[in-house]
Amino acid sequence: MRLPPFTLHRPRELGELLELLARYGDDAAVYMGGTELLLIMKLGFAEPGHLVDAKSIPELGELHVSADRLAIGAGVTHRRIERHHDVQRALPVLVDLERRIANVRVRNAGTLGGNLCFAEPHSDPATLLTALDAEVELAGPAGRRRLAVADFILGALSTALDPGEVLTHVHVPVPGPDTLVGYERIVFTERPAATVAVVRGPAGARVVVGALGPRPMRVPHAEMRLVEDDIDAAVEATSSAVADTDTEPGADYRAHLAGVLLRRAWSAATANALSVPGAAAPTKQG
Amino acid sequence: MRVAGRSEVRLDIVDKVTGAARYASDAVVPGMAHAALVRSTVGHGVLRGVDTAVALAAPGVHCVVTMADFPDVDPFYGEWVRDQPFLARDRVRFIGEPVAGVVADTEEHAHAAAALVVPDIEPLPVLGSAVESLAAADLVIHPDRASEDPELPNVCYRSSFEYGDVDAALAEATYVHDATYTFPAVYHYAMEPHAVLATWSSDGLDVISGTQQPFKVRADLARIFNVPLGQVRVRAPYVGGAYGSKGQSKYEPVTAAMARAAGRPVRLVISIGDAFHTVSRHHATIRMRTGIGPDGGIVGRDTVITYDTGAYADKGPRVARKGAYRAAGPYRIPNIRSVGLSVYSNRVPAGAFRGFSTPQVVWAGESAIDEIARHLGVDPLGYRRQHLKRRGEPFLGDDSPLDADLAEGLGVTAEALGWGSSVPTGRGRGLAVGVKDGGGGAARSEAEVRLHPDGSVEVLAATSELGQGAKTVMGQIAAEVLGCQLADVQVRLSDTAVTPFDRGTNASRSTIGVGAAVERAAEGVRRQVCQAAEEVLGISEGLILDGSDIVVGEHRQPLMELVCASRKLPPEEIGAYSATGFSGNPTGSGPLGAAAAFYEVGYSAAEVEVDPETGQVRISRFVSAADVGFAINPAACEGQDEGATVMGIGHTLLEELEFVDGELVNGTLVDYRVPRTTDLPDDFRSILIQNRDGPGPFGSKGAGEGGLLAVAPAIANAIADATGVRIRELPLTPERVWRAIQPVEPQES
Repeated sequence: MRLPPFTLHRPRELGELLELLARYGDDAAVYMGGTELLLIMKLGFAEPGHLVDAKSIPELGELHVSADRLAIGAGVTHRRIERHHDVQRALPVLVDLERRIANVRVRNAGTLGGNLCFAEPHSDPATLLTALDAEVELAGPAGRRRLAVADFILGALSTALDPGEVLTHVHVPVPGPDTLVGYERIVFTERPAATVAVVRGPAGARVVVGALGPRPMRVPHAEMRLVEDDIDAAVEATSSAVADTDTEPGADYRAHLAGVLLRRAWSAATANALSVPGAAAPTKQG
Repeated sequence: MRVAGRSEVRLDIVDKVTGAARYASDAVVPGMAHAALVRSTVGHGVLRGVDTAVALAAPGVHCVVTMADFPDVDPFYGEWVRDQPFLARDRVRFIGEPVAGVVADTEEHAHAAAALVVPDIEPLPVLGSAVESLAAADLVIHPDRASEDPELPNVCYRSSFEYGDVDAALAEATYVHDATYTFPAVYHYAMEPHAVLATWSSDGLDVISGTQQPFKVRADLARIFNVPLGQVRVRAPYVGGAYGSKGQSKYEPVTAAMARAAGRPVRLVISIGDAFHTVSRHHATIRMRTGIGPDGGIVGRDTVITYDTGAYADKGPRVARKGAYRAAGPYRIPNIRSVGLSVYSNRVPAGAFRGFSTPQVVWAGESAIDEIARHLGVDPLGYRRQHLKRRGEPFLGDDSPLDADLAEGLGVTAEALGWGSSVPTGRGRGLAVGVKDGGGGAARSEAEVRLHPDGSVEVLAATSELGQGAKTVMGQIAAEVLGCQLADVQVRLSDTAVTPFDRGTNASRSTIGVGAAVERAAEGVRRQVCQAAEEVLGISEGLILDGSDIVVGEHRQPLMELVCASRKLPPEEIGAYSATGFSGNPTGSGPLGAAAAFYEVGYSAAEVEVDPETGQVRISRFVSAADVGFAINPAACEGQDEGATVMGIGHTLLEELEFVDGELVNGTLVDYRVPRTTDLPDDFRSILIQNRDGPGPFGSKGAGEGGLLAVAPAIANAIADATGVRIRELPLTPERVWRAIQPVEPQES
């Protein structure tokens, strides 16, 4: 459990960062909070010769909250998000999620952007951000582009980042008062064992299950049932979807858990809505 | 009492909180080199050779050693069964077993070179558990070792106790409860992994190690390297937690061997990942049959415990023997038979772990008693109280009489939980009691106390300060006897060249063993001061020390003047008052060969809430009671009791070392979950029972393990109360609980 040798670079601008990545190619890794990267390096699973520390790039440290969206720079730590009053007002469910990530030491160093780039299947934010239709902004040799989080995370520890490309921002739409949002998780060891996010607004519903597969999984059948206000059927559809994809021992328990978490997330979402004057309330409760 | 019985602030607290405290890994000596070990990645195999050439040529490397470099030493250690070489010799027996050592100028160079060493191992089939190795008659893990039973060649050690006629009792019983329980292998997780610094010189071998048993390590090193005891020095500075993982030899022999080969001091500090691969608590399977007579009395108990001892004996044989003995339990049962087996497998070796064999058998015994009470339709508390042994009855055979009122202690615990009052909806309550013969059998402890002419005191006692507060308690004992302030007492840490002999810091024995020796040494010093006072002043009644003065009645005088007058010497020549003391528990009586020095009793009572949807168990309330005889430092006793309880919550709800074909697959702190503050009971009380009926100073008993003994059955009994479902397999994970509470689907006929 010791770090292999590497050269540390500290670019001050995004352009400089991209130049370093272009120069060192596969032998370089972007180093932000280091909570995942340094751990896998200590375990011997990665041995980059060059760590490019992006914490000094001002643009990546930005955190903007406007009426309809959050723009969170790739260098913004979990701790900053959880303590940010405007984020609390705009998207309390995200603050609540961030507060529960790992422990305070991890949250003080680790970043939301880094969490998404690592694409650990048990990530809390990935599940919620997928359900919220959040996007990531990427910068690379070919310029800038945006991708839905759902398209960015390709699988376990795998993202759509091209060689030499970095994540610069996470853009999260702020749901309107007519939208219900809920997130629940269950944790047995260090990382969540199962996570479920639910969003229902005028445009439809999202049900996303995390930690039970290589990447967050949308459950379209459950979303349809939820649009019909049939939470029992949505729970059933969610459990079935997990049971269909999980072939490991204990799958029945995990499928059941996903359903339980959906029901709880939905209860939390409706309870939140009822506590906000003028917010949408479901027509029928599960 | 002036000093004893008070929650004095720990003598080491400031240094520990500020980081000034020095541990073995902090030790530095001139010319020191750094070591790394090469470990087997094969669970079982023939070690045909080790290619060290590339590693030897790597930057900064002084030497690379294998067992072939030590033809002159006897490399084996282990308690009762010496089967573990400090480096693998001709076989490897578990993943993680050291096969070579690299010594280099820096830790980085040592680890880089270690990765270049290539062991040549011909794999053998792996015996992944005790169950597999009991079934394998042809595959023998230690083929060169004579086995007691040729049909069970992988049994390391077998121990049995028999009283009365169990078979007849069970045949005549009106009800026989027959159940098998399992207990997981778990990791000690001492925050400080093992660290050793070894130096050879013309003075002999000098070792600094975070060990619980410096004198045992000294004896091992003297035997292995054929060096006289007087030329081996083992120092144990502050130890960052041990819980049994740092008893007997661990990495001291291999570090000394590397230092000898390198011709310079060598420091070895292992990682948590390596500590996971060093020693564990025994996985155990316990089959227990209990016979009940027509009046509800317990007529017989027949127990077979299979302890998975892993690749090497370590302390496994002793664990099996003590476990068999303690399986008899604290109830009046006329017919008892217990068999304890220590069985080899290709797993990480299992050894001592806080509670030493007992949590496993208490898990079975206290679950079984609860099941029986429920079967009989009687209150589990009432049933226990009716059948618990009374004070003065022997635990088993002709062992020492019980020095505790078990029924009363359990009653106090149950009452604190509100036993008998209505249980909130969705919750359940359970309780359990665990008894362990304390003190670790035959043992001797010695100590020295010095009173300097300025009134300052030094205590030389070889108790390892593991974080339990022994340093402070030894100081309180000396201060109480001498009549001085704790602030005037300096307690030195273990150093076999300086501190007198002690068997080791284990078996909750320091207070009654070393503490009693300190008490007697301090009494010896006090006698000398009083004698001087009688000579010089003609009075000594009620003499106390107050800083640099003595005070006798109305008379106050500098101690220095008294000593000068008594010894007829000038101040710079007067020396010190010094005395030694000892305590011992001799062999020659009791079923274990040495009567129990005392009985360590732990009572646990739990109220739990089970989430029927997820199977998660929340401990709403928990009461633990420890019978400590007399609490010399009550805060320290409570800390021990609470810490032991939390450790017990670990193996009850969370912890299990998972092995797949002998490979530990969750040996990191990310995958292996220990209790956190969020796992604490919502309401948690610790009660100290103090009847001053122990053999230690001021009527104290040992403490530190009791709180752990009965946690698992108390919680499982509470779950059974809440759900009606009995689970006999630990840990009680959410998935396991959820499965257990699912309605059973009707079987098709």
